[in-house]
Amino acid sequence: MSVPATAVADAAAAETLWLGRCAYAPTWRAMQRYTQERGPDSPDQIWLLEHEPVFTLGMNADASHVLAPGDIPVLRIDRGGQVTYHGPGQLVVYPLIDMRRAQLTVRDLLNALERSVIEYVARFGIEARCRAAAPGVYVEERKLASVGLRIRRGGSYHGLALNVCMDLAPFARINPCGYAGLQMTQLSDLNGPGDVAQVAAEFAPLLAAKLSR
Amino acid sequence: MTVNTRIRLAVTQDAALIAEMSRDYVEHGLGWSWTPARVLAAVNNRATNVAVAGELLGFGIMHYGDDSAHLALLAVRPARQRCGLGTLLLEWLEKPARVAGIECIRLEARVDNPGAIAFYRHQGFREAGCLAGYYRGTVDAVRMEKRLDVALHVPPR
Repeated sequence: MSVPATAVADAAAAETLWLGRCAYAPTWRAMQRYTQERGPDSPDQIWLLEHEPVFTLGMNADASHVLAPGDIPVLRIDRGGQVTYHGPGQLVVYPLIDMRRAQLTVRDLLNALERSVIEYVARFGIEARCRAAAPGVYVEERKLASVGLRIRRGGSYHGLALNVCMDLAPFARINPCGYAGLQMTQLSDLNGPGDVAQVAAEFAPLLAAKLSR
Repeated sequence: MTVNTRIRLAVTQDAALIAEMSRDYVEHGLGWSWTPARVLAAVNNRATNVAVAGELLGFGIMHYGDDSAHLALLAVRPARQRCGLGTLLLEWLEKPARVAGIECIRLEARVDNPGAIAFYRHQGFREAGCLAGYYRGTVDAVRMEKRLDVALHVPPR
């Protein structure tokens, strides 16, 4: 994957990059490689993109939670969490952070991701919250955003998926996050914005600010 | 009551009381290795979470590596046991491990504490070996392990 892309925010700490529509596997390999090869002076980067349709099974995922994948490819990957769906109309955010240098714990990074979503959607009058026992951001009982990470050599990859304006039907082919019948929601159904690139541009500085303390 | 108990990260001021709870509820008969200074170091370690339930009704300390996590200590005041506080603490400490794709959680428990071993079994831990004289050469430990990843098999199509 070619990484050079337009910077969407002028963050001092982390570079934020809008990568547009990306196939899953090459992006996954690229962030593994960035984490594997980064040195003490490599910049932190926040990649923002949307994926081609794919089901991914995290480290805690039971394959039986993929009920009927049909023509959508299924990938078993190295992030935390259960099974989820990525597709066009969903904003995917991958924070590639040197956790030690930034003095962040996994919990800090999780909190930063969840709180950035909660603050962002509050601009549109959407009241979202996170849960004590399960990661992600919810509006009432419906899930708006999912989080799954991986730490290698002190660097984070994988990240957040925020439903913006997408076809939610593929979520019915899985038990999202391992829960049968968990309903998903998205910004466009909550009177929020419907353009992924716009959401990326507005969301990135919020997250970057939380990660540079 | 337990349902509403808040779990939070420990702060500097909690270290002394946590150390005393370790001495009284976990390390009894073994001397005192989790001194206030050692607990404070854990509170300040970025790769470690020290979690506290309510007004120090219980606490847990978990260290997170890239691939595995280690539960160093978990204790609930005897009068508040068997109300789900230990489960609540353990779930709270496990959440970052699950989010981060950590493969397993390990711990050591005193062989002379069958209640703790039964608790961890109930929480999905399995015995993974015995460490003779692990505690000051006097008490054996049973090592326990909980896998967070699941067996690889091909998903149905």
